[in-house]
Amino acid sequence: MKKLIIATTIGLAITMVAGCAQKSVVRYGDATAVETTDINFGSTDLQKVAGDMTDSLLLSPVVGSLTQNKRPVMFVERIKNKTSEHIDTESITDSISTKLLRSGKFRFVDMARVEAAREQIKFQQDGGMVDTNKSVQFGKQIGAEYMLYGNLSSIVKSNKDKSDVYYKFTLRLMDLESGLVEWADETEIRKTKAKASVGW
Amino acid sequence: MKTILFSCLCFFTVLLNTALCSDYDRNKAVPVEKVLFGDVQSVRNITEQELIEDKNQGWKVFGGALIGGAIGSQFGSGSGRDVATILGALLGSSISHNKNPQYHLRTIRLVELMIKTDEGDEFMVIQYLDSKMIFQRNDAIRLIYLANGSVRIDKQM
Repeated sequence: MKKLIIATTIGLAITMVAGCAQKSVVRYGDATAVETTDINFGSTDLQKVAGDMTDSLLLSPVVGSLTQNKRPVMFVERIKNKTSEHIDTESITDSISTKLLRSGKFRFVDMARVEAAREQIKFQQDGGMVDTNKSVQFGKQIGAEYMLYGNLSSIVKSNKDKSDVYYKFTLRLMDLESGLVEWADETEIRKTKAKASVGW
Repeated sequence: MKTILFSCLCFFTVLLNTALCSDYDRNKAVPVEKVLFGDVQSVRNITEQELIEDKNQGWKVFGGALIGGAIGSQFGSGSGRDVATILGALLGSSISHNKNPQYHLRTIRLVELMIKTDEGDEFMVIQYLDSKMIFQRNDAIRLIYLANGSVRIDKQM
């Protein structure tokens, strides 16, 4: 009996030590490589959505005429996430706005930083530390002419052998003065996961 | 020796508890019926106690039979000892079985959220407290109606 207890304890200890001895290895990879870790929304989907939408917007004839003689000012409203997943939609809009800015055709106002900008201007005006002749004045900012907004939705179907996720991302550009939607497009992603009958 | 065995037992108990107390899996693609958007009006952390019946009754009966059999085997000799062992096992299992079932209280940590949607409707939602997503007043949230009939509140990003 005593020998059995000792043998069991040693066995458990060896199992635990072997488990703890597994070494993790960190490697750098290609940030644009296709990621297929699981079926959920991932980095490849984000890059595809942002890339497709930016290309579509910049190649649109309507937008071409809007940006022919000037650089319109836009602001990005949040993307409404209608999926079950906790997706960082701000990251999608960040990618889109960065690509559009880099194209040189649009300018942006950042509504997420309005309060920080207001505090800075207030500090310059009332703080007594900044030369008032050189301080930034209230009421000089340029207002947005266009609003970019959108939705991300998904349809999920699964059975015991297969899972299928369909994502649809819709983006629209609205003229704030007239209320007209000047441009809209959508991109779709379908991902399927099938259980492998034989795996190694 | 006892210390080692006790340590092993504690280790596996912790593993089991960790597996049982998992938070919401918010990064999983599952069917959704609809999503409403809104703000948190108020947050209240509450605890609920649940009476759980001990599911280890079978093991206790087995243990009672084992102990009863061991005690019974100490008496008599030859076939008399066998009879005493069987009687002891029967008596031990009977006592264990007839003992009142054990209950214990399980405390569940919940969060009660008053939600006002962008359309102006108000909802009260009670869900498990998720340490990975703590809600504050005025947080922008999503009210997700999942296809399995449940509702979950997530923070908007």
